[in-house]
Amino acid sequence: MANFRHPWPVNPRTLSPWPNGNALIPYPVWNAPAPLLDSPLIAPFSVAAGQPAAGAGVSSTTIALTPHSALERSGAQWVARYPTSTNLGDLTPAFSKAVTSFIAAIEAAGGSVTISATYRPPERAYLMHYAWAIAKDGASPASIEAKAGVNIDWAHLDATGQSDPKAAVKAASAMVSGYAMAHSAVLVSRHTQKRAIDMTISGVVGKSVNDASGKAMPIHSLKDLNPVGKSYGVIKLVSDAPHWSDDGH
Amino acid sequence: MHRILIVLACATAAACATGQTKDAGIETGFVATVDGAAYLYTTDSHLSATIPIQLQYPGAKGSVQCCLRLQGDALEAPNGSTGPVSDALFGNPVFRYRLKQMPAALKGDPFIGAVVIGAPTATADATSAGTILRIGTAPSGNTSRVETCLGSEGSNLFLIADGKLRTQLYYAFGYDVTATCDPKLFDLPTAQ
Repeated sequence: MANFRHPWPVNPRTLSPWPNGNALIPYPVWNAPAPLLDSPLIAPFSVAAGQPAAGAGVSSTTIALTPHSALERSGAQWVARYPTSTNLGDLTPAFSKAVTSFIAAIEAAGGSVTISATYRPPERAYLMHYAWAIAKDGASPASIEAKAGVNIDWAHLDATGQSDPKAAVKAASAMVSGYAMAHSAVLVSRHTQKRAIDMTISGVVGKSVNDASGKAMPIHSLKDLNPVGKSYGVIKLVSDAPHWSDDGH
Repeated sequence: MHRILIVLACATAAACATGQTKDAGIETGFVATVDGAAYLYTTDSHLSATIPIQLQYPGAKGSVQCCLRLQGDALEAPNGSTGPVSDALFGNPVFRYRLKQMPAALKGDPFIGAVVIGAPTATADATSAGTILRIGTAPSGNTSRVETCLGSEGSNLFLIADGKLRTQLYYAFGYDVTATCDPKLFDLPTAQ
């Protein structure tokens, strides 16, 4: 694996749509024919989000590239990788602390909480998003942006760098089925940012739950938990029943 | 005496088991296909063998069609579900019924659609791209409807009659999507 320095200064937090500054690299560069990648990678490339804006604060970044011979073809075997976490410890420290306190209050009131998701790795979102794009939306497998750390060959290249579009679409379809997707996945969410939790709360209706100030709040319906959660810094997103985050998104 | 009357009333109405009134026995739910099987999710655990059930099904190019018509005897006995569907309004248990046979129209890619239970007819609203199903008439004469929309990581399903929310179910996808829900839907008064 070679390290590649971007030819111009880039602030990935400004330009990249990925959390944590993960940069996207145009797919053809990643999948250049093997002879080129046998030598140090010095050819220029552009970050998918574009050139730095004038006056933007910038810094340099180093991106590790993987020769296409080391990439693994897309397919159903990818589905089990980068699983969604249900661990509170995988949230940001501040949100983890807030959620822990909120859950403790619910349980102290006699309720129960089942966590179904905390952190969703951005790698998983990337795999789901582009599997759908290829399988359902007609995206060219050879045009998919690469993501650092996910060594996937969407195009099913042969030794000469030629893509097999039919096999690529079939493999992407297998991934869509494996994920049981019925809609396209978005790349970035509060879950990929470690700022959201999905949890099913039961057994609190008809009881009182203490808010962060210690005041007992009667719970007549699940909606009455919303201000209680807010007092702890756990904000309800009303359009998604199990979903709470640090800003309500 | 008042308490006795309530008990007697509940004994004759299955809806009392969930603490809510229903619109002339109409209920709603989700249909989902997973791994070659089709499942119906609803809060009613006692669907009769003759109850009419209408399922949305996938059309061409991602469209949603209305409706396949089944009866309750097309379903296996229900299981209590801790799966992807929850009752977002009352927190009542949700039950999962497996279809005894996979309808041909549901074969293929994973699909999640709306179900109307207990109504003889349901028709797609022509302007809604499959997100609204019209159901007969409510006692007031207004049309009841089942409406679906996407939250940020799941599908919301509303049964609305006389402008009031009768049922709200949520199907969690397990991944994030682009939300489509009109926030006003969540502000509708709840039927008691």
